[in-house]
Amino acid sequence: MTVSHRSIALNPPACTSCMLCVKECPDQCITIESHPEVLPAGAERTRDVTVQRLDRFALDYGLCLFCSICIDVCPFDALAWVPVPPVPARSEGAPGSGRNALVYEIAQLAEHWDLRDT
Amino acid sequence: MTQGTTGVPVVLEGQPLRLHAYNAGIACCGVEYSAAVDLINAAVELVEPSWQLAADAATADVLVISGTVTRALVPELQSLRESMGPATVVVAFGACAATGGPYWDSYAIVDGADRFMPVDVYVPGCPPPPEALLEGLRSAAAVVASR
Repeated sequence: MTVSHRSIALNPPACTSCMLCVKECPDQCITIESHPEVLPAGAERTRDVTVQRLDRFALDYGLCLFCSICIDVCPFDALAWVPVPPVPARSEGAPGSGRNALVYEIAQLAEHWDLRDT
Repeated sequence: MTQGTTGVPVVLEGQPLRLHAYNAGIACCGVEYSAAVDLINAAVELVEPSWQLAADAATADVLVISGTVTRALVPELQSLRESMGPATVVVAFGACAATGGPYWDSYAIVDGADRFMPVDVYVPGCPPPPEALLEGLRSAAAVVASR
């Protein structure tokens, strides 16, 4: 058996919270939370520049279709395939907790970034 | 509703355990389940040629929900679940059974089997690959062993 899913890895510093992946995902399995930050004018720039800072990036593997659209649309290559399948989740403790365990947050999504396809 | 039973031998912590899974195949993942089981069995037969099928749902340890759950199917699935023992381990196989998948927002769809029965194991994928089924059944075996 060699057929296997891979999973989607995130490089947090490369993400600009542009929301393209969120908008293009066919079943809205990605959640992004961010806040604006003003980079003040100074030696590096003549005007204030406002950027979005990533606070939360969550991908629900319970919903994910592994269609690759998020990876394709990311303008900054902040998403990539990695050869590590998501693990089936068990409900331990509270009923239905397995479902929540399939929601991967930044730490889990960034974990295997170094194994990405290049 | 397509239904089928499969005896899948799995090894848990060094102990071989024969797991009987009953597949409630209600959409495309039902077909994927069958294909995955064939593949798993072809691989497993090499080491354990004597695996057997479970006779019916009543003798199964595991109920696998594979496919999109429509609202119309809920009573059917509930009575199937009730016909099995209280210790039966329920596996939601694939995105639809786990969360509703791409149809989660549809008026006709239940967004996950756990909306009307307790689910023990969630197998991601659309469809999940064969290894994911094997992983899911290994998790189910661990739950069976703990009950």
